[in-house]
Amino acid sequence: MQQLKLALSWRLLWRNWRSGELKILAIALALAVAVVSAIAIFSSRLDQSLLRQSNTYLGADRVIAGRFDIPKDWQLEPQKFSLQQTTVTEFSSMIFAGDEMHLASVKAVGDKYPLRGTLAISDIPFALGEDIRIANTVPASGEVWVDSRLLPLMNLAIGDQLSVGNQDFLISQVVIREPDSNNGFSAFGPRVLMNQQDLAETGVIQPGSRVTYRWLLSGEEHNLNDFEQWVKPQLGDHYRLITIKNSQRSISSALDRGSSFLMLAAVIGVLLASVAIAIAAQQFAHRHVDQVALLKSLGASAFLVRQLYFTQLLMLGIIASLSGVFIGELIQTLIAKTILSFFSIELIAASWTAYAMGFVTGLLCLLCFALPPLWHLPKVSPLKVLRRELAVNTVALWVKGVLGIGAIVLLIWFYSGDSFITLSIVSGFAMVILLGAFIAWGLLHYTHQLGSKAGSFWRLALSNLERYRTQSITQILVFACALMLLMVLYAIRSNLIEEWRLQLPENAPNHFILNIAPYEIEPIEKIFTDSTLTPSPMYPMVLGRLTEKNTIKFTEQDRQRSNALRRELNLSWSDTLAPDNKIVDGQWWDSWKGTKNLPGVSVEAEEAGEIGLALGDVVTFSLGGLELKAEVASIRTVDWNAMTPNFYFLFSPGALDTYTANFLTSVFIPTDQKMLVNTLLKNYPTVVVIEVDRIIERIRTIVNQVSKGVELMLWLVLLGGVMVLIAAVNASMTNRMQETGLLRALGSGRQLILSSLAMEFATLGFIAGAIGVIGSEVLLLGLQFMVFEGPLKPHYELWLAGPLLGAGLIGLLGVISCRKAISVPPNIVLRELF
Amino acid sequence: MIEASQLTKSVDTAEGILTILDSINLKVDAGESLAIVGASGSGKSTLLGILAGLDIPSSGKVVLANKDLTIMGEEGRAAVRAASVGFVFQSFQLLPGLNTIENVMLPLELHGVTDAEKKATDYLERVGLSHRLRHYPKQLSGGEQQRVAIARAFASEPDVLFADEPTGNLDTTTGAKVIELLFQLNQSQGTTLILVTHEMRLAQRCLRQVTLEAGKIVSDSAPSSHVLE
Repeated sequence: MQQLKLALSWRLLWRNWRSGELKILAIALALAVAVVSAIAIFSSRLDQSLLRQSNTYLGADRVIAGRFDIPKDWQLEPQKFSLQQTTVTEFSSMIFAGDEMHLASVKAVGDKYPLRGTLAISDIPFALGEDIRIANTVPASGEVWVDSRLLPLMNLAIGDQLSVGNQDFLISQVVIREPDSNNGFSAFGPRVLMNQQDLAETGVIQPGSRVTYRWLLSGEEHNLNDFEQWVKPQLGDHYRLITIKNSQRSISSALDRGSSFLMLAAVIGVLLASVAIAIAAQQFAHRHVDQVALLKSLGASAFLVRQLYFTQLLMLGIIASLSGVFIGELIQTLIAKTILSFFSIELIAASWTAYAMGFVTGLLCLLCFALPPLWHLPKVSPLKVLRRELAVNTVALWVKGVLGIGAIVLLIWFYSGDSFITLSIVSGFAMVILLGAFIAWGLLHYTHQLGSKAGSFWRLALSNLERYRTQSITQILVFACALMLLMVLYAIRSNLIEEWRLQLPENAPNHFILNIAPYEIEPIEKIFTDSTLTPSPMYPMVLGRLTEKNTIKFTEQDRQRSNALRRELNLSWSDTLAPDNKIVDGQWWDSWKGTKNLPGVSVEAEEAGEIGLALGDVVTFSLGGLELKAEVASIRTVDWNAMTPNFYFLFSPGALDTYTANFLTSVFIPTDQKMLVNTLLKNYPTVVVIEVDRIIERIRTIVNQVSKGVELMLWLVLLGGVMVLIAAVNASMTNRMQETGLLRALGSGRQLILSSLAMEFATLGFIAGAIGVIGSEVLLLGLQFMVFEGPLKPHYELWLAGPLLGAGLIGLLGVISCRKAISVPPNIVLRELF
Repeated sequence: MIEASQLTKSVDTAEGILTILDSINLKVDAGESLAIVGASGSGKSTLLGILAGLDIPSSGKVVLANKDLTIMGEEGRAAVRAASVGFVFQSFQLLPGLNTIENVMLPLELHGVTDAEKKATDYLERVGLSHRLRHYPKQLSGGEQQRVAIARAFASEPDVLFADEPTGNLDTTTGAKVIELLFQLNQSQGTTLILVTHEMRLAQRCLRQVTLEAGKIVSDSAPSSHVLE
């Protein structure tokens, strides 16, 4: 019997589809799923691919770093999770060659290093272009690869020997680029890269030596996540997990904001499609009241009717959702092919959850938006076959309203996982509905009065709107919500792209020059000015170690907790607050009054949190054996996205005057003047140059990619908006066709009817656009403030575009939808309707 | 076959309680044909709806095929309708999205009849529409649509056929043809026929006529044993 019902449901579904009654419902559903699938699949692929690309800056997908060697039993685990692993040991050591000696940053690497990214080497110091090779191996046992600048510093050449600890090594190559070299400014000494096997022989690592052990891991994202779950509880205070998100803030921030936007686009796409689903389901239910009455008069029980209809709905849901996932996959392939081909990024496959998300969305939308309008169908009285005027007890409006709002909140929450986005969108909706109903009522009244004084088609159009006031207001609200969501998405996309562009201006400094001795300032500045480059001002920088808080020495436990306590810090002073710094607590120097007769220090907020520093605390630094005490005067946030020099600790002017400072500057060096870096290093080997041009280029590429994806999504969501408009226009079609048929039967000309219809819909669209603009400004206010953290500003361009776009789009759709009523003879129109 | 006793139907209106049917007593035997006649608003359709189990009376009792409809819930009445009742309506009530044969198959499919298509084709042949199987209602004339409705009603071989103004939407000639067909099938299947009409020509084709006026039976052509006291 159950099989028979399934077969019957299937046949009924097919017949309903054939008669065209399910088309809008199915298309809206498939569209919702397609939008979400395309976004989820594309985001997942882009996210994973960019993450993998970005991971080249770590040399791995995940890194575990600590002051102690990685326990041997831990190293058995990665195999269980199908992960690759290798280890890196880093320390500073004095190296010797004949009479020369120098403090170098030694790095001993395992055979598989690096797991992500590449190591660039050369036979020629300071090599450029074709002289650079990608290393397929690591230094052989007994050999080292060194930084080019080490050679002039120690009067060495390739082929010479140097010694690290007890062991002599042959210099066989120079290291040009390491994938994981940009991990902060701490490694000042020139690099000496050696094989892990030789490390023990050197004898340099003794108990208590300052060594950083890094455990590099790579593999599939889900395996890495599983591994993370296993490893996190083991880390304790001695080890920490490094991911791209916590090590390369600029990249992860661009990715996060891009993902936030895409998810917002998905939410808006789903909401638009859901409104279309709700309207289409309402229409479907309305048309099926007679059918249900007939089925029941033929002996179908309410239970059977419910089974038949709900099974049909479920079947439709599954088919439309699968189609949606398929369409989504096609769209994302198109995006990937057309857009990403410009960039050298190889996209990896999306995770299965992205596909599942689209499918679940379809069923969720159906459950929340299509089921409530159909809920009452089984309760339709069979008596309706005899008495058509019998009222149908539909689900109460307030119940539908509560369900609808609940469903919207649920969906937004499901996709964004963000209470501010949820709150903003729901406030926007509430604003449009409450204020919109009030404004629409007033405007309709006013336009009616206006129409009574106007020409014939205006009069006809506006009196129609006034006559069906409730229907008109409902339609205006639906149109307004759709237009509001589209305008929000447009505005956010524009703001986001503009902001990204501003954040990374074309000539942002892309090289940091550190460790400049006071006597080197002038000649170095001259090198740049001779090449018509303008470096930023020289920042004084003193190396110091933080030793005490409120005269209590930091313990070993404290040091394990905070990286800043384990290394020498770059300290600086400044009389002005950099534009990307914000004081969140305390005062800047101009209004700060110290209470302890000590110089002031401003601390970066996250660092202050990690170390546990608060306003008024006295911190003690050790600067080359000298002690400096200072009072915490302010806590500051720093925009790490801005590629400018920033410091964790900034002192009040004069506080560092008695200490020997080195200087730091940053400069924009265009690609064709890249040779300057070598000139600088050859002449001033103690200077450290940190090249961030590759990071900036990578961020720019990522931002470009995400921007293109964002634009395409906007178009896809626009399609969802048009879908709502079509569904809403269609919903009022029966009445309009009836009237148009009658008017034509009574002799009205096609021109008059066409013009009046166009005016009627355009007026609806204009009012809806105006209300949509108000709603979108409210929504944008919340989103910009809470989610995208952009500047709050009105979007004047929308104020005019919203109403005009509404009038044009809805006027056009209205006329297209009504064209049948105008082109078919009126008797046929009327016969079909009565 | 059908027995109604002390049937009353009243509804609340703005002007107070309106009595549509007032203490109706009626008994219809199996195979009998009954016409309920009366002016508009006399309560004909309401009576038909209650006798067929589509509606419930305010008081009184209806027994159809030995089952008391008035003590049953809607689900129970639906089961009785499924087993024993067929309908022909004034407005045909064909589903516009279904073609001719699908409309006739619908009740058969609902009842789980396995050879629904064969049976539907058979009945459409009997009403002379075997050449219109795949046509949609809007492609058929009014008379043809009502013939499809008749085929649909007889295809599920009901014990009782209720017809509500079956010729109400048809011209005289077409109406006459439809009446002929209805009675022909009725006789061949031995179905009990209860129809509501204000067309005397149709009423007279029935063995028995009952006239309603303001919710009361004012005349009954049946032997007195059929009128319950």
